[in-house]
Amino acid sequence: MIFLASFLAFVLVKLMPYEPFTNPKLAPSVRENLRELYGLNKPYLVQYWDFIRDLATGNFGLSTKPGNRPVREIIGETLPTSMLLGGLAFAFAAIVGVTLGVLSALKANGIVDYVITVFATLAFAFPSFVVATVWVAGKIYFPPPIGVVEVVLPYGWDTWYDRLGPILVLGLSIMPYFTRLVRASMLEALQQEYVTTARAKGLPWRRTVFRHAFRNSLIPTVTNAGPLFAFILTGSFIIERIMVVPGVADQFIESFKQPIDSRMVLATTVLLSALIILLNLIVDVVVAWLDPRISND
Amino acid sequence: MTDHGDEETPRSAREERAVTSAEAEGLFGEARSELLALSDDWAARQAAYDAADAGGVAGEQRSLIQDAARRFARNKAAMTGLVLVTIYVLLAIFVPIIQGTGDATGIFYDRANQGPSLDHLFGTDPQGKDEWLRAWLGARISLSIAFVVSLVILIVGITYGSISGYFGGLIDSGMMRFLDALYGLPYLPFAIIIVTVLSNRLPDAPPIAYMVPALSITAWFTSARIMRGQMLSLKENEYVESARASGAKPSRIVTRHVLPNTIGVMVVVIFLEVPNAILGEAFLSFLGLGVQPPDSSWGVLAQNGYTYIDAEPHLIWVPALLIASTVLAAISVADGLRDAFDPRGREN
Repeated sequence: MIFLASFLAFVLVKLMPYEPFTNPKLAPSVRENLRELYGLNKPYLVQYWDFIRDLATGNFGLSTKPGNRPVREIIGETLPTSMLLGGLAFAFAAIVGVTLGVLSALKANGIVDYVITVFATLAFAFPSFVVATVWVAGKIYFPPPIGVVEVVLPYGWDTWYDRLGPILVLGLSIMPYFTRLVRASMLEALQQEYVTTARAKGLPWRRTVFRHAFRNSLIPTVTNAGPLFAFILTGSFIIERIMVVPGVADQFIESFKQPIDSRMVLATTVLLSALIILLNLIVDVVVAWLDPRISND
Repeated sequence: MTDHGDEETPRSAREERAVTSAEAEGLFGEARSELLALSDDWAARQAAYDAADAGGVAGEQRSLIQDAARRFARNKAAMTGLVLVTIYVLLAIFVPIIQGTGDATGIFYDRANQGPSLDHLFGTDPQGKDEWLRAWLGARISLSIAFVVSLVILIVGITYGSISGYFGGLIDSGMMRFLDALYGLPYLPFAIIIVTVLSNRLPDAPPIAYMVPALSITAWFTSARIMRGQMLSLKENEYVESARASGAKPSRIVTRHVLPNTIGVMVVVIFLEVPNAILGEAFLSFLGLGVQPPDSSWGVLAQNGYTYIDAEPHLIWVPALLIASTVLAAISVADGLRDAFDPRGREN
């Protein structure tokens, strides 16, 4: 799959009108040297082979943006930030989302259920860039109260106070996913016979819910987590952009500004694909561990 | 389809082909076409039974679609959604026609940065452009992208899912493996690359020409899976078997016998993809990689609203509310359609 991703990315990037050295002041000989340095004068197949070999050795070449820093260095700086943002947002969404889902399933069709459902639906329907924009605007109108002497931008990633915004906004955009799935599977689990049995043998309601229904209701939530990671990624593109988080998604979009930094695009696309594939693998392992019946198929 | 000159009564295309293939084989020609006619009858009766069964009404004969339409009309949330989408479509068509597009293309500094008023329902932006007009010009692009993307996804999904589900076996598992592989890839980076490639290659094309491929290439997997599942379950029906027994080709069985029975699912797929496509368009345009100004779309308007958030807070709310309400409306229409076509599917 990583090969598929790298191949698709390579073909697509080669289709881009990509010519980084268009400055008319460059002497033709200098341009030729540059093209040779970046391996652009070789046939595409050779370029692809070089690209795969570089991937395997973890060397992504040099960026064509001013500074010509190694792509590996840029990604090494920005990826941890994105992982931290994504991970914390995921944790926030999982905790809040699952809690709300369980609550609304237990109080099904009551006022609590109604409020939670409306909230989750709104959180899904309002795109995260709107929420992010509102958050930034909120910080303009209501600046942080105390202990701030220097000029404070309404966004950024330097202090935990700054980080709260992106994490909350990204978390909020993925939370409805948990709420909806947990609510549906919890409702189903509560109607199962093993819940009745557990009640019949005298288990307290609270214990029945958490030991029997809740555990089983988590399985579909985990099984269907595949699209979730891609969704977090999508959200982080927007949020890193708006809230000025120095993450890898922000770098990725930056590299599309003309002249397009194709090495950065290639390396990031393949890395992100690898990351998502890896996460999906982990999900498969977790599901097999949670529910041994599935691995017997 | 070669020899139909000697037919005295007009026959359906289906019977014509049966006759052709039967005559080619020489023997059992009569018996085969008879069997075929019989199987047609069976299929019709089966469909009638299904419809009656789905409606819970015995005796009265109504089509599946009439039945679904009745149930749909009773669903308040779904009807509200449908009415809202219809209003948006009408406004998108007629507002620019009636008002002309001058207010959105010119620059009017004398009336810049106004809040909502009777003259300008949604206010004006820093260049004095009328936000109301821009919103509906944007709706033209956003909504048409969304519907075309959904249609493309549906068609691709039908084709891929039908082939995979009908033939089964190695073909099926191979095609599904491929789908799994694509499914695991993060779609946004690829969508961004595709949009960049196309918009640079086709600099003069309207936005829809590069947005639709970018958004549909990365989103047809779900619909292919759904259609495959439909195909797998429907092809076990007796009427499919009888069609196969009477020599109908796979393409004919799929298009004539199976697909008409998936119409409900198809409509649901369309409305399920509309929110994704609208959000996808908005995402890309917001990042400055999709629709580009001076073309207007809801994503472009949102980007504009973000840029002027400190001076012009109303500019972000116009596209935000339009996007959110359209997404909600499409979801409730999809839910309503699902319930209408499959009332047994909803237990809790």
